[in-house]
Amino acid sequence: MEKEADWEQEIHTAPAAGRGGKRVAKQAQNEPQSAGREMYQNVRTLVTVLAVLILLFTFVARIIVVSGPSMENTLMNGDAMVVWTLGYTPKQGDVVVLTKRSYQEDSIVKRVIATGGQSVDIDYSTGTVYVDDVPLEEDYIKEQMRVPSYGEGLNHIEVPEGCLFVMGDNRNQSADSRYSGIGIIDERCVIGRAVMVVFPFQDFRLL
Amino acid sequence: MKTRRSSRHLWVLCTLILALAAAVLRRWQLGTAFEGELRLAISMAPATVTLGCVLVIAGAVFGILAAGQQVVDPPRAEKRKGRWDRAMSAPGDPIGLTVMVLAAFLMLGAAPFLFREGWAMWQSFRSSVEKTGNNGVLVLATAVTAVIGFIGLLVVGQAAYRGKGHGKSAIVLPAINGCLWLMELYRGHAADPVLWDYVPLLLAVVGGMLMYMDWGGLSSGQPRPRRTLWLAGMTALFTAVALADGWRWGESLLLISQLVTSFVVLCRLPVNLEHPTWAARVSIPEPERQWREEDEPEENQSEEMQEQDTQEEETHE
Repeated sequence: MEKEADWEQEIHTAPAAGRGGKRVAKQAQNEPQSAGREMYQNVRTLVTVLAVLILLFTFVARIIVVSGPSMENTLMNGDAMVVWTLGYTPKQGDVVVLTKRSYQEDSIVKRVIATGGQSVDIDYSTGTVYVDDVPLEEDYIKEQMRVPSYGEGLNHIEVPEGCLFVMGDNRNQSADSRYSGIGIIDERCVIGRAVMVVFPFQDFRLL
Repeated sequence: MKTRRSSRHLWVLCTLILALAAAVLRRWQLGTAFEGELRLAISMAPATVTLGCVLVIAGAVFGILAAGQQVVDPPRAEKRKGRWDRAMSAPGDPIGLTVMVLAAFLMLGAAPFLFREGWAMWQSFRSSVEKTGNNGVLVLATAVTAVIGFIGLLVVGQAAYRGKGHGKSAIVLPAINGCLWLMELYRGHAADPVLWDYVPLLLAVVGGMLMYMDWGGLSSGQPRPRRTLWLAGMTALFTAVALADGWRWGESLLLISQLVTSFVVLCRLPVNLEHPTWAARVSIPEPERQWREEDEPEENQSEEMQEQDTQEEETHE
């Protein structure tokens, strides 16, 4: 009963809408915001921004940090890059981020050399890669390719439909489709295409 | 005298049916829509398409229900006094209090499991040479905020039971737990190319966070009651789908706690929006009261007040 009485008192003392209402509105404008309301607004901003960012990073684009030297000199160890994921279909020459859980849990970054239906020939004596018998002009590789210990003997492969043949730009320090532990990549393992380096800032560029 | 039935039953029934259907479809999807050792998604698998359709339909159904929800808007003077914060109150309702206490203890129960999981990750990270992978810090932080969320839910439950205005902003505490949980979830799945692996769980956590924030908004001068109801429905739906994925103690207890609170919103908010406590108690001037008694049936009084208030607002503007 006591609580109800308090409540009633609040109601009766509250001015009705009208001239009194205007006065209260002006007072409300002049009054500082309560600490609780201010805290609520701050938390709401935090929650909203976080939810939007996570949804963007899940469905549209992700920021992924390069780990390892396999893509030097295109991408250096520690570079943070934006990876576009929304509606992406892999194409030859793209730098892609993919996951091969049988090899490692974390994602890996490589360049697409050939897509489904194409054939790949590797001539280690000249360091040339042929796709459908056409030699690739690879100005992005770090140094001439040598025969890797794990890839000896792999010099021709037909890429099945829905799959990709990928290699790192640092051919001599890259575990990629030449390595049996990774092999041909299913297109569905691709997270997205690396579109730009955003960190460190002095290396900011489009890929 | 006509009595208008509360839309609460409709909300709860629709949510139960849709959530159950979505959970069953998720089990079907897990059984048939992924292939191979890598569990890659089969494109356009019937289970995936059906589940997607059900989720979209559920969003639309909740949208229609929310749009049609009767909301008796408080008069301006009441709004200024923060009367929206009574939208989630249930003075003297022991069931409401019990359910909120249950949700709070479910959240607390998740903390030790999360802590154990996070600690194991941290130890494994410390002992690894390469120092790569999940270090477990976000899991530990989620465990700590689960305890804070427990306190928040208890305070809100108590405030609703007593019908007091104080303490209701504590509902933002479970939302803060949601923030840490969401970051940990994203951290754990950032390298996963199969969206269907974790998107239902991610959307359940996002839905829960936004629902708690809207709930807090009722007490903080930013009421969006219809959106709160929609979010509660969607949260229950995605939580049911996420629970159908499997059982990890820490995560599942947090999800069940969230499911319980979303049903608290669905059960309590429609009733309080249609029959607010202030409508029965506010004093009406004598001439107006006579006019109402002559012309209007009793149950429409609150709607009339709303209309009158709207007219007054327009006049002032």
